[in-house]
Amino acid sequence: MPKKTKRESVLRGAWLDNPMLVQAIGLTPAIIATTSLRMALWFSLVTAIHLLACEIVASLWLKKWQSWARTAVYFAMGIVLAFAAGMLFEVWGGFVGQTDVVNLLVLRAILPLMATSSIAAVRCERFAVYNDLRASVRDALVNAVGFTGVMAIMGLLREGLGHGSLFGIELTETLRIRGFWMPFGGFLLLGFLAAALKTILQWTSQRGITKDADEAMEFAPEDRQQRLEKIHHLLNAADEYEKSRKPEDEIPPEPQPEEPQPEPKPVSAVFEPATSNFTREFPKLDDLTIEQLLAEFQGGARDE
Amino acid sequence: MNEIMALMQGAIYAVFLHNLLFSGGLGIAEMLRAAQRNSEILLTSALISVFSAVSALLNLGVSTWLTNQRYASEWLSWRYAIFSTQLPGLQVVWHALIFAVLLLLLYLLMNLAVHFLPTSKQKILLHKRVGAAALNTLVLSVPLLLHLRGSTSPGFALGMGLGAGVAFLIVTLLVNSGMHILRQNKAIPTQFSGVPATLIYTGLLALAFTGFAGGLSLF
Repeated sequence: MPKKTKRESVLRGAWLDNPMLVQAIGLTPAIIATTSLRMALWFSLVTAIHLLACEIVASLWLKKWQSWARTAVYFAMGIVLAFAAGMLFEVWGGFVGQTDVVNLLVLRAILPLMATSSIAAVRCERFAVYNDLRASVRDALVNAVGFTGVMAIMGLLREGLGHGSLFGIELTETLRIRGFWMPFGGFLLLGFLAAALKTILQWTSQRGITKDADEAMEFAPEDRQQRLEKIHHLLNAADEYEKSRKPEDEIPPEPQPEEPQPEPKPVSAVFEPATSNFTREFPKLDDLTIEQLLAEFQGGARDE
Repeated sequence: MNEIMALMQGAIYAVFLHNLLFSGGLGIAEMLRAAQRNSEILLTSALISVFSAVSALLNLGVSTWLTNQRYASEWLSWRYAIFSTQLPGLQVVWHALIFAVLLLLLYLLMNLAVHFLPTSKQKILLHKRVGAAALNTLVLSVPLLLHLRGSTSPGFALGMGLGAGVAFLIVTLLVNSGMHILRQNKAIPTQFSGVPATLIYTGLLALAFTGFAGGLSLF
């Protein structure tokens, strides 16, 4: 199998296997936190930190843990991160001085932060626990790049078209399509972005720019998910079996007395010559056993 | 009687008026994953209902108790003295922390209970579904939405918690049947097949639910 270059690996993680548009994970932040570009970028940064931390921990220490216990760790890490980031946000938002606005802002910040636990859990369970630290760090960074790319595009379009502004700076008062700001607008935009990504990948694949775009698009993510689920299920079942094995299973069986081997027969006794001419043409074979013949043949092949 | 009415209101609020998934965009990724496996939809929805209802009630109890403790309340809202904002009781971040920690404890308890079941395929499946449901309950964040509404009724909390699971079930079944039809439709261009078509279909359903709720989104 040809070894993948770093460029191909980054391309695969960020675009061919984009966490949002191909794997369909992390959709909640994409819906809630992309109504402003600034917030989208802020969440991308927080998600990248969370993903990196979780993948490092999973790769270094959680490989031998059971899946449900690992999930609890991702959960706890998510809580710590969400709380810390939420506190920062609330303190920052406290300057606004309007209770309802601050509550709403903080809630809009906290909810996607909660959702980052889900993204981290999925990536860790799919990748980090089966790979070494270096590969896990690369996977986290590459996925964070793919995640940030989509979040930035979503934030740009939703803030620009929904609010008529960018980074809070008003661009227009007339062109404000409120649908982009609503959750259904986020879903529709995500769908069209996913279709756009597929179109680009097909185009680049046809021109040989991306080698394995067709392979990536061959099966729908649900099939990929099902395959992974099966692998996980088998691995878990193997773990469970190992744990449920009784000690007596491991006692080696008593050695059985060896049965006497039959005397090797000469070739002539095994291969009955069809005609008398056969024995006349190869008279020396009669004196060799099958084992001797094979040893002779293999020895000859090695010598050559 | 009032609490029963509140329970029904909470359930209707979570399922129809502000469908947590369509009007809020919460827990969509897990919903899409669950929608691909017919056999696990009911189990995941039931677990989400249990997690949401229990965590909402516990969160309400703990938050109310903490708010009534003078010192705890002062300690938890120390920074409001600095920023001189007038905020009563616990704030969203503290609610979120209490909710998440309670949910984590519930998750561990549930897994412990599953762990003592005899080894079987169902046990492995339950472990996985409990994890997915707990993470999705965290994302659906019913206690935080209750706090945003300023609701302190246990009936409403219970109704909204149960309604979260029902909302998940309805949305997952709708998307599941849509996915099935989309997969069989050969007229869909290849660029739109798979995730794009599913997301657009979900968007159209969300549009319908938002229209049904009077054009209001959750936030």
